[in-house]
Amino acid sequence: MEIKAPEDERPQLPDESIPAQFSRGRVTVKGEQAPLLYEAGYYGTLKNGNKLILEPEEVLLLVRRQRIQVSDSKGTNFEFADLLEQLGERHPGLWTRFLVYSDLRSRGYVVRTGYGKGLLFRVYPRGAKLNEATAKYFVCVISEGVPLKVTEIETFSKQAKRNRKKLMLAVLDRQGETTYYLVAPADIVAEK
Amino acid sequence: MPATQRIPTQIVENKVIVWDPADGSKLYSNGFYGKPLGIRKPKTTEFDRPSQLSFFEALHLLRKGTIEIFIEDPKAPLDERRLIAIAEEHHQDFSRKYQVYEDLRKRGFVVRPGLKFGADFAVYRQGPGIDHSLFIVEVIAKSDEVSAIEVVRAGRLATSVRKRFVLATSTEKGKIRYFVFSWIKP
Repeated sequence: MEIKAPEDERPQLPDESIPAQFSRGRVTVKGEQAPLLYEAGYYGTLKNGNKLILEPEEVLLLVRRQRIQVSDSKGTNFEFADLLEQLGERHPGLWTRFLVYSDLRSRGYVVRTGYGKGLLFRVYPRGAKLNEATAKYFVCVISEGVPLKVTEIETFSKQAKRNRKKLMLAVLDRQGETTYYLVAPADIVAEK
Repeated sequence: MPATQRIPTQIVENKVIVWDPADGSKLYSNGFYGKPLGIRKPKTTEFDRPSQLSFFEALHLLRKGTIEIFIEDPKAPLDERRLIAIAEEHHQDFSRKYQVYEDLRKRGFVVRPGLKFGADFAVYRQGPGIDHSLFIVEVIAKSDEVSAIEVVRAGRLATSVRKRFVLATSTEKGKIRYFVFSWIKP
């Protein structure tokens, strides 16, 4: 069982949604609210201190939580379903990733997208300050009915070990519910 | 053991019987092979009844040159291929599971049936009656893939039997890989 983080020192976000721009398949937040949103939960990648580029999973979560309001240059608003469709075209498997991402976020973790194919997320301890903390888990997803190659698990667990992380498998059932398992290569050596 | 002193054993249905209790005791005390008839948990390695070997044990001991196996005619022992063919008839997926059995034995473990824990093998460092099994091993159904249900089963079962639950599989090159799964509530 995890211990809850102490009171959050992160900046409070304004009650109304922060405006975000949808352009060329990407959602960004510009201006002084960019660093605010970044520090509120370590969403996206902050450029020059005033431009926040959001990952598709982050966009969906922030829209669902009414943290951002997305529109394009013509002033057309994008709702959750619109964004899912638009972003999903460029990012196959987005819905699956969103389910796991939002589940981990709702448990209070700071979740960043992972690097490399298949390793989807990096999970930081609750209440982590991104520049101080290191990720605790690497996460990959296994969906009911879609087996994972043993070689993939091997690659991921090696990668996790190299980075001193634990590999967490998010098992997604047919209704999108997640359970989590740690997986590690077993060092099987008999010592008498 | 020199080839001339191979222990004679006989296939009866899906078991391999060691008729001579002295032979059975020898196999049991040297690596915990077989199980004496009708003794659930042998207290000693000496017993006065015939013992039974599984096909996994039989093939391994045949390969090591410890035993010979016949069906009806003691003068016509089986070769490996014939034994494997019979074992395949009686035990689903025998050959793939055997690879794991042999790998574990070669690593120096004592490998016993794991059915009562819901797995293929129970693995001991020293042997039943001496220590508790170190972990249980399930050979996964398809050699190169792990399914969600296998992960869940492994994780849940490990929790309920309080043992490390290891999934074993062979890679394309025939190397055996082992993975441990444990359930967490993040």
